[in-house]
Amino acid sequence: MRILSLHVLHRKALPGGYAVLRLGGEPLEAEPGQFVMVRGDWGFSPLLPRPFSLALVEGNELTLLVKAVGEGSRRLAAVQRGDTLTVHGPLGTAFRKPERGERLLLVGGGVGIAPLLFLARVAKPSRGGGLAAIYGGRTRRDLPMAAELAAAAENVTFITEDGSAGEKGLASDAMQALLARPRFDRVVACGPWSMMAAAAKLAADKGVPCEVSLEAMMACGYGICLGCAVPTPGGGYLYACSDGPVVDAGRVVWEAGDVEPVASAKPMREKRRAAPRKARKPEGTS
Amino acid sequence: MSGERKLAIGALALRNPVLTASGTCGYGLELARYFDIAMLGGVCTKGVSLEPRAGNPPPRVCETPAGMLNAIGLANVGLEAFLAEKLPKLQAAGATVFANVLGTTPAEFERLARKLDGRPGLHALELNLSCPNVKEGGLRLGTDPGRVREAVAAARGATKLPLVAKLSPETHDIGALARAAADGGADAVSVMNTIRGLAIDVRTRRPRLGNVMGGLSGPAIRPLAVRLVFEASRAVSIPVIGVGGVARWEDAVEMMLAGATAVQVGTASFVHPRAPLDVLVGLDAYCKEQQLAYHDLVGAVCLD
Repeated sequence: MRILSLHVLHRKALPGGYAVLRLGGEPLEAEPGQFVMVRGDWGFSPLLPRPFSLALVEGNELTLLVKAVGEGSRRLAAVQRGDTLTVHGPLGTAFRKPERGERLLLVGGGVGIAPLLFLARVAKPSRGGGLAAIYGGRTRRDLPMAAELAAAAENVTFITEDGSAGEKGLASDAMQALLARPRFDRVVACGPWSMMAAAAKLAADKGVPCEVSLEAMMACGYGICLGCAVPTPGGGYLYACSDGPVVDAGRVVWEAGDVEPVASAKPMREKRRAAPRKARKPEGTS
Repeated sequence: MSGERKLAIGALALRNPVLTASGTCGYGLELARYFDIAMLGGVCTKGVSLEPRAGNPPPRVCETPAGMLNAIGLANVGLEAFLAEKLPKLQAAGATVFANVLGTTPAEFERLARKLDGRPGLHALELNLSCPNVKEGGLRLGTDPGRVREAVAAARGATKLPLVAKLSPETHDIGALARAAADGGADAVSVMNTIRGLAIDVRTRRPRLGNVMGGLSGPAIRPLAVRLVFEASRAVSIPVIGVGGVARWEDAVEMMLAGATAVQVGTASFVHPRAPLDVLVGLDAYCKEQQLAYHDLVGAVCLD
């Protein structure tokens, strides 16, 4: 992995706070599933670089899909052409290379589409098997790069929770339908925790191997902060940045819940104070 | 001040005053993929306990203004794996190794020190007397001068290795803690560990860390660390190692002017893997330009 200083070659702003960034200047060799840590030159706050799965790497150019969530990603989504970003990578594990004739089902949600898009684009020339994809989001705005996915995979099902694009429902609903017939050799999922948990379960029920690309809050991206812990069977943790982000779905305790809880709080009126979370045994910080 | 004075922690001469901070460089080997870690004054490893520890439930880190909170929970491979897998590689890399050790009682520090004594490739021990939120030991041990002296003395009796006591900022009298460490036989003190903080997500109304509270680090805490280094260095004659928010060479110079003999670069390594080396290169350029030895900077703040 390297630390590169790259220029913003192109920025395409999308509705819903998404932006597609094309960066260039120095070559980077990476495989689908790997990620980079990205930061702008803006002093100490926000401090930490943010992780992004590579959506494509071609020669001296790489493509990232950014969603403005916190201060760091908001700034990255708003960069201008010509701005310089520090890019550290490629980091982490990659998806298994598709074998000749292997039939893949990609299941993506929101920004989770980025590494699947890279995989689809790379896998396509050598497929011979099949490359179907399910792409889900809350609304049609939450399907960024849908056209790129449609071009890269041969059979894409779009599905939104409000029905504003494609079918109405969850990615797992579409997956259930597609997996009804046993014609896939591998499921590859990336998206919100609940989506990946559902994909992992459905694939396991059908006996289909399932790879996921994990997302977790991390500070460093290269195995030194130990922040991105994801619970594993047996009571331990794996680290999303260095054991992952791509891991076999069976290595994760999905019931443990999202490592970045997004569950909405109960309305204030219903309960004056947020119920104190059952105290987890504090072991200390370090 | 004499430019002749050697930069040393006990009997250990350091090649320069820039070290990594424990918990921010893994076992040092992770940084070795980015630069030659033998170039640093020292590498302080992730805290090692007698037994392996899995750490706290996630989320373990969150970002705060110019800093971050962490509640890792001292996840580490344990002493046995450290000795078998990590230390030989650090030795091969030529690093000056400070093993940060984590005990909850003086007896545990004694056992850790005894087991690490005389190990090839190990140059010093840093006693973690100050991890916030640990039930046993941690802050309760690290904020009580009597217990600090006791823990350091226990380790002192079990090893000839230079001993560094890492102190907590959660005290009204850092001088008393530093003196207690010196009385116990410490060859230096590291000032400071993280300070406890809390961040709450206003949408979920939940703490942003699984462990509720966490240790605050990064540039946000630097003025606090500089103040504590200033106070500690005036309370003891043993060297003070400045830790807390050092991200640039200027920050290292500031720490040294406040009284630090050496500095540790911590959270900055999360932002940039070469941060410790960059701090060293900048410090060297500054010293050369000013025609100063490292030691000329130590405590050289002008107060008149």
